[in-house]
Amino acid sequence: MNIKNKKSLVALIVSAGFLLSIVTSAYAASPWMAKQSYGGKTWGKFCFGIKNSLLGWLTPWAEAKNPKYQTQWIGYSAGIGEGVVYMAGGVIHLATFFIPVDFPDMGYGLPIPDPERVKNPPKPYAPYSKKRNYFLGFF
Amino acid sequence: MKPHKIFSSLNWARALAVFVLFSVVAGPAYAGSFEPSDWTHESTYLGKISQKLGFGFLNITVGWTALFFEPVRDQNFFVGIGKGIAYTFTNTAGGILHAATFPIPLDIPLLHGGIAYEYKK
Repeated sequence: MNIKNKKSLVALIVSAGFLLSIVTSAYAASPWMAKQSYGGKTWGKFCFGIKNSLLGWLTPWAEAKNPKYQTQWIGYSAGIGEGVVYMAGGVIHLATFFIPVDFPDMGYGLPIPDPERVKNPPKPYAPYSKKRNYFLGFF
Repeated sequence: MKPHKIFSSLNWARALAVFVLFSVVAGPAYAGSFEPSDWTHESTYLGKISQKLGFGFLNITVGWTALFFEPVRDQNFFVGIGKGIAYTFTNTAGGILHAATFPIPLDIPLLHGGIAYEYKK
């Protein structure tokens, strides 16, 4: 490859990266995009890629419990498609973890842990509450 | 058989004739019932293709249950059986088409939007 071709290849890669950063910043939905530093983003992207590429096949079971679907089987079926996309996208994230560009934008990715529960964690189990147990109103 | 001869074979012509006949007969009867699929509401490309694949899988696996859902809906039993047979065919064939073309976010509308219609009661 001569020097002219190399220069045009580098220019193509740089312009593609620039365009991708513009396009993906419109969504910026991957959790690791919230990090500020380069190290934080690359580590987050690496872990995000590991999680989705290795565990993406669990998506059908996770989506089956998603209340937004009418039945569990509809959720499971949706999870089949999402799982394929998450695993493929996870591999791309893993391979390009050192480039902090959110591509492909998969949003939260595999919903494990459940994003809703992360936002609103359930109250801790408290079988022995401080509420007094009155017996016939005397004690 | 060589790939380019598949489309010129007699079987292909028969299948095409059946499909055209089905479209001509069923089309006017259900002209107002072809609805956009649920996955078209997704905003991103990845969202659309993942949901399209899932939609195809759903219709392939449970599209045939329309055969049992339709006769018990509020309509004439025999009309329900006829609709059930038609929906079974369109759901299953549509599911195959959706799953096979999932990387292309182009919708193939099914009758009442596919099998999920049967759960909307």
